[in-house]
Amino acid sequence: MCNSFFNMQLPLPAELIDHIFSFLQEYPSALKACSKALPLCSRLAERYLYANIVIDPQAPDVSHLILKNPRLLGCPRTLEIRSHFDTPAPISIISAIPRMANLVSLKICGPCRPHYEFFSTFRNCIQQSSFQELQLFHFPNLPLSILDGARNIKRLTLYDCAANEPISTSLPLLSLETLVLSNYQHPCTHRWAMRWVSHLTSLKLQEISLDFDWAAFPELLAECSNSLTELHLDMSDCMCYVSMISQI
Amino acid sequence: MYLIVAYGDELPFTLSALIHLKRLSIYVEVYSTEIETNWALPEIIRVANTTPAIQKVDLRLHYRFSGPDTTYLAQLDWSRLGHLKSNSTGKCHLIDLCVTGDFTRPDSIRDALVANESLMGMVKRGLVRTY
Repeated sequence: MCNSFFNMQLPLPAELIDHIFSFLQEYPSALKACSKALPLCSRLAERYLYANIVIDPQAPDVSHLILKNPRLLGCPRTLEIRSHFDTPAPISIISAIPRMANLVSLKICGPCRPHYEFFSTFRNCIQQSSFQELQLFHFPNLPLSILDGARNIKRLTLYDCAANEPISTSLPLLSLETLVLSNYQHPCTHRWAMRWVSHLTSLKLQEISLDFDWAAFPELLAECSNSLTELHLDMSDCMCYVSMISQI
Repeated sequence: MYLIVAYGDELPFTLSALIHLKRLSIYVEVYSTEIETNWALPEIIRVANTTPAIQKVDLRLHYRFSGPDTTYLAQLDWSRLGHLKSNSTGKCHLIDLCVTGDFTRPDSIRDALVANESLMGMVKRGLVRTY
């Protein structure tokens, strides 16, 4: 085994090494060490090293690495894109998403300056077939009609996202199994959500406000009443809100 | 509980239409000044019992204590948890109960709950799990 190792051949069948590497996903430093043993090991380790990617403008190295090495685009299974107030929307990485053939989950923490190009690029990227989960945070002007066409997404989280457009009359392709609505506080958001929940099995409402959300809640429940098996209600902030009202 | 006060002692919905609902999780915050007068539990029980197929209720109560004293937790009427049962079948739900609070250590809350005979009786019968 030792000789074969130094002859630059894999000491074990590639499938076995790949299986071993799969257990090291939680230990990136160990994976990195293994990947340096042989060039072939490096290739095998890549899909685990880059399986869960976080893109942060304050640490742009990962983004540059992915964009400069097209073969790595097949590695990510989960991708989190963070933005900061003083950075532009991450169009370049969003544009690369359609080439991430194995991406299952995407989380975007709202860009502070979303514009037409961002939403147009985003609309294209959420069509891809591997996509199953989408989490959006802090998009106060998100055109929710974009989500109508995301036929493969089964789990959707909207945190502090609002609709700013009338409800479409066309049938949506999006049909969810899990929906998390948090801090949405906009009367249109639940009406958009009602279009996607006829097969919903899990509904979670967090940080819900009384004036908009509770009024909409029975309607939302009615739409998913034939399929819902799990309901999570976080009413913790309701009390604070009404407390504030009671003091007025 | 302010929410119940705001809605005339009733949550503004029932869950009777959710014929496949198996699990309900509820997280509420209760202010220490409201515990005796407007405790949330009866209303949660009323709503939960309207579901025809529910099997498990995760109940997380967070108490906004004004200080570290948790003795009144032991004095609360925890026997009400025994009323969590389906209106249609009469079968009791399995309850996962989590109690947390401000300004208190978890072991202080645990000791207060252990001192309540009614609650511990339900724990011993397997109806309630605390964590």
